[in-house]
Amino acid sequence: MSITLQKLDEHRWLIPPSGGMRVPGILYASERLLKEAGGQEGARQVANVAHLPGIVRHSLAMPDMHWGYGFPIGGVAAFDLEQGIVSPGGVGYDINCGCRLMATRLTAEDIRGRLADLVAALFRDVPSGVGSRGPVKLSAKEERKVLVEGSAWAVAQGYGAAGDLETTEDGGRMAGADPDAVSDRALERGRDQLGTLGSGNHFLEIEVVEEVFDPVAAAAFGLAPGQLCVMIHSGSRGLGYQVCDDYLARMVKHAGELGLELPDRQLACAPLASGRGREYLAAMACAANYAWANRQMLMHRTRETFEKALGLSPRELGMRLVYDVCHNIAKMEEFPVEGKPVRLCVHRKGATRSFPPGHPALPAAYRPVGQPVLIPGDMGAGSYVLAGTEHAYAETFGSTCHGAGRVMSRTQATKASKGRAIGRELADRGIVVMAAGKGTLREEMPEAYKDLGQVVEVADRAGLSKKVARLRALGCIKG
Amino acid sequence: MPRYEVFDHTADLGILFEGRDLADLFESAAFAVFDLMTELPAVEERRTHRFVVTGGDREDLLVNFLRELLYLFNGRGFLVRRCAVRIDAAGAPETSAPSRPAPSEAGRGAVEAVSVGSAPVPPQWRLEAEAAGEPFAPDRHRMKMEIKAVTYHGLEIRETPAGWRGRIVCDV
Repeated sequence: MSITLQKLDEHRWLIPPSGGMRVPGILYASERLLKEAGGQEGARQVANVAHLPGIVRHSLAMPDMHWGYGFPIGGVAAFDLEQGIVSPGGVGYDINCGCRLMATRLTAEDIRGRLADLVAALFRDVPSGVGSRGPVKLSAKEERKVLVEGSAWAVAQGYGAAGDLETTEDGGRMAGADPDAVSDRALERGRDQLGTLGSGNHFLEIEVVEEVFDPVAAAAFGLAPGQLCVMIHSGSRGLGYQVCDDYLARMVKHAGELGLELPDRQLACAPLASGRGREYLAAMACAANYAWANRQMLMHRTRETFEKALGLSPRELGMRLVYDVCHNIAKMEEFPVEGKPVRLCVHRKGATRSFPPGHPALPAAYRPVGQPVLIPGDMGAGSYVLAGTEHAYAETFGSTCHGAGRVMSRTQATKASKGRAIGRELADRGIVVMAAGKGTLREEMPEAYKDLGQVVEVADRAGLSKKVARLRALGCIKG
Repeated sequence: MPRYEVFDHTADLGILFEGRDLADLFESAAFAVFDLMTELPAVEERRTHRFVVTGGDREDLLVNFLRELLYLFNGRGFLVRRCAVRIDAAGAPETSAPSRPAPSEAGRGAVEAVSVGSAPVPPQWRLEAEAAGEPFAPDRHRMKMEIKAVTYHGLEIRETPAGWRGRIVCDV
């Protein structure tokens, strides 16, 4: 028996409960996206997540869903605080991997002829790639502060301004962080990686606002056609990976005590109301805060590099944070369930929060239009900015897609790109790319990802988030 | 040289590896991980690290072993050229370990619930390893990719007529 999908409407597919599934699964996808979602594997993982105790309403998959491990990438699931669980695998190794969009006062015209120099300067100044070290080596005491304070720590050190905190999801600081819940190994790995981009699909991209779909929301976000922006995609680095791995190991070891039947060991979990569950959440919050401090430092370094490379004053450059979102996280949030507001633990594994207009979590300036949702594409595809919706709040625990999603594995991409000069092909399209890793450009070649436009279109039509603006890539550095 | 190949997993990296016996299988997995991460011929055997890991069953032991090896690089900056292992199924005859269908196989059929709960809780498998290599030197060692972690997803170890085969998915 294989997983059968029932078409609910143009963009929704139902997996009816069977076997040990406690709730149905719902996939948001077009027929085409469904075909590209990795056959049965992604859908099966949605069904697997539905086995977890305390899951509320549905096991969900966003339009960029693809085959992950344990949870699918693009998976969303909310759990009851008393009956439910938290799963490190449902957050992912890169805790609080996320995106940050900065706008400038410049236009693409202002850097004409200097793009290559600017990309080279960023590549030199922003540490990236495997084994790279950041600009600071934290003392044990200072690292604990980073883990508790997040972005605020970075701002207090002079990396950015207090206003940046307001335009960061959760103010760049997750409550409940306890450094004592973080292992010595994780602390050790975090000590010298703050302010580093990482490798793989992490990047820093210079972009230009190409098209505006919603002028009112774009104006609220401070975005206008022709404007030069920077998108950063990075996370909690080795510290986050280690936190995930440490707790996964512990939860697998103690899985027997829960008496659960799990279809995949990677789904190992602990009750939210248990000591082990609370301890993981305290450690996860530390990693989330580390990631926010990391992106705050990356932004600061980017700003400095722009100023130096272009000979501009901070005022002339006017680089400011539009918003910062996380897309690998578990969070306590309130949602209407059967007409009543209920606090739930929402897992977003490769999914972005999409809060509606008027939500108190939004900064005042964005409240009339909804939360900025940042959707990065693959290398060279640019990005989209969307706005959160009431529909997402009601149907998907305030969640939408997080990116294009891979359609080719890294090995397939490497094979398919054989004999091609990916860097040159991008250059021919006017996009300057520099990468630290030898195989990165091949593995991350544009065809390896789904069409970002398709994913965003489905998210928009299904009402998960509304299109605001499209940004075109000009230059990119990758790890 | 130990044998391995990578297989397609959309987001991540799958590795299939073989060994004459269980210890040889684990050594193949160690080789695969470091061969994929770096250009291994440039790594010299200058130092050794010894460590011991335990696991509830063979699969768990493998994940814990590879975790420890990844930590040697990610936490200690140590590149492993070769790793020798000795495995004891302390107090547990090999045949008593529960065999479980891999999710990949389940992937072609029904959503099969495999009991994790019935796995033995106390670690019954023990492994001693000696990893030989040298500290990572950015000027001499070229990193090809970062392996963030070894996952339990699709994890499989099985005996074949020719020896042993294993399968892991890594987050990269």
